[in-house]
Amino acid sequence: MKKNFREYSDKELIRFIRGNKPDSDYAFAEIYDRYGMRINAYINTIMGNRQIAEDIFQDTFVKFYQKVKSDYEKGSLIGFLITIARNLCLNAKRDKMSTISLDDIEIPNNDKDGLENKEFSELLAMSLNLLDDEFREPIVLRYFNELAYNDIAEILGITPARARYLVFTGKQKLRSILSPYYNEIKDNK
Amino acid sequence: MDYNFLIQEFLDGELDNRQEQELFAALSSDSSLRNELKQAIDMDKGLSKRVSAFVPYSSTTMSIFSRLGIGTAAGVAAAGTILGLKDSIIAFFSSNLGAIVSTVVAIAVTAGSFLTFYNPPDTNVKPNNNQEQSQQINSDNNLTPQNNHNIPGVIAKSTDNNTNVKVDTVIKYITRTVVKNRNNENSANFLDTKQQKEIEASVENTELAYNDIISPSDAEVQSSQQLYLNKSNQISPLTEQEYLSYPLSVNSSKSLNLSFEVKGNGYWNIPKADVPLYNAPAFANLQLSTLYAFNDKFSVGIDLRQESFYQKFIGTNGLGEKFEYKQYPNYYTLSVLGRYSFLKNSIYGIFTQASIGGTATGGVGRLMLGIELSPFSNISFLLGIEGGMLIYQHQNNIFSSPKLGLNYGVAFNF
Repeated sequence: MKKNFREYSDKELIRFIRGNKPDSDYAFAEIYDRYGMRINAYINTIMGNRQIAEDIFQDTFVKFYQKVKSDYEKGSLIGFLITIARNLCLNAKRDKMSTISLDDIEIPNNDKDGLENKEFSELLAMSLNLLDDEFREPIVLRYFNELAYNDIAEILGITPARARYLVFTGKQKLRSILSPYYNEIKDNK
Repeated sequence: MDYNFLIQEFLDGELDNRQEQELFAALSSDSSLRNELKQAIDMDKGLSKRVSAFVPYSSTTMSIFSRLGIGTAAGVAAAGTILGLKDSIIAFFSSNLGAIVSTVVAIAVTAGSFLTFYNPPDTNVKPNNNQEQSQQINSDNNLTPQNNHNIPGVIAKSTDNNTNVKVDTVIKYITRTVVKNRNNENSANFLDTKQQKEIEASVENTELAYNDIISPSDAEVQSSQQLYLNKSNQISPLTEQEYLSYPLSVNSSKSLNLSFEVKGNGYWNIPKADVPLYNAPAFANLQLSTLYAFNDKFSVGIDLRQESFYQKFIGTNGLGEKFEYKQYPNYYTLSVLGRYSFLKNSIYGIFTQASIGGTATGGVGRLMLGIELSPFSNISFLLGIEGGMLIYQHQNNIFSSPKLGLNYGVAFNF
């Protein structure tokens, strides 16, 4: 009987990955399918450079596949993935220590949006990249990776209250950056 | 009171009843606060939607799976959005690897069978009376070979019941010799019953008879003319060259009337699939069939195949939100089939075929119109246009996945 891996929980998929091929391959593919986009969003937003982000994204899943068989015990799988991705991002930033200009910022398009939404989405992405890492990362974890404050706190090594504050303050800063856009909309109405 | 923080908490679902009432009271009297709420909602929605812009490139996905030594099929199953020509080409060959392999296998079997069994006619070879290739029927001991005589016509039915021959075997080629001065004999007696039994020459209920076109003046001896007995029990004379084109073929009535078919198929889904194959096993789109022939026209059998169906259907989640699901899995399908042949002769035939069966997901029905080429009695080549449909259910709604394609392969008859 053929298995439908989409029906399995994260824990069951981990058990398959620790087992034999081909089930381990398909279980890994399912985890990739489940979380790849969110991990990619996190890395791209944190790094702000597509080429570097792509390398880190690949390394994240390669490292995950190697570590999940031995190192992963409990906790959320997305948290485990984010932790790997975050460490790789921090290493890359430490190595590069480069500043990123606005021209370097990659703004992936989302063609599903309407023109107005698309414009807003692009402005939002640009604004996000203008935030300090301290605020950007909790926002990405909260909205891109849909993590609870407790999980964000665990990944960042801070308290949940601090995580909540950073998300709130980060969003206030975003609104401040986007205020000309909001004002323009207001004037046009 | 920081109402902006309350708005944030409200959107996070963290406010208690008292705080909610307090916020709503403030919202009802403060238009700028309502505007703040709207902006906050827009931003939350915008941030949440941003993630969909970060679908990994399929080339990135394939690279990861390649680095980990994970099977291509699993990699392709995980490859989300395909961007660019290079990605498309990689993904196409990767996702269709199974189909390509099975197609190559089917074509190889077909071509191999054809090349193995097919001997092109050699027009330089003269006919002979080799006992291995033909049986000689002598109606008279006074036979004198003579060439250049008109070949007599032969009909399938005799008017003389005494010449009825019910035997067990079909022999397609009969070498016969016509005797002089046959005008005193009933033409139907030309085939001696004893000899016929010896050679067991004819299909069941077939009656060989001489057409009385052999006039006394023609009553010279013919030598070694060949008769060809086709599947519809018609005997027709063949020229020398025709004779050489068709080797002796004997269908024993003791044959199993079974055929085993190895086929490949290629399909176009309706509508066209716009998601990658979830998996592509090595023998995707390969099928194996076994048929039992009740007679020349009607056969029944079973059919096992690996095939893909593109499924697109609507469903709702627990919150009542509608979703459109798309999937492109590969299934095992087991079917029973019936085949009816018409316009059939010994070399080719047209057939229609209907089958009904099922997969793990739902029922499958098919109709096919095809042609069967039979250059040899034991080997046939099949080519058909087939339409199929998977019927399945999701949340008490019925959906269908139709497809149309080519079906081709080789049949081994036993």
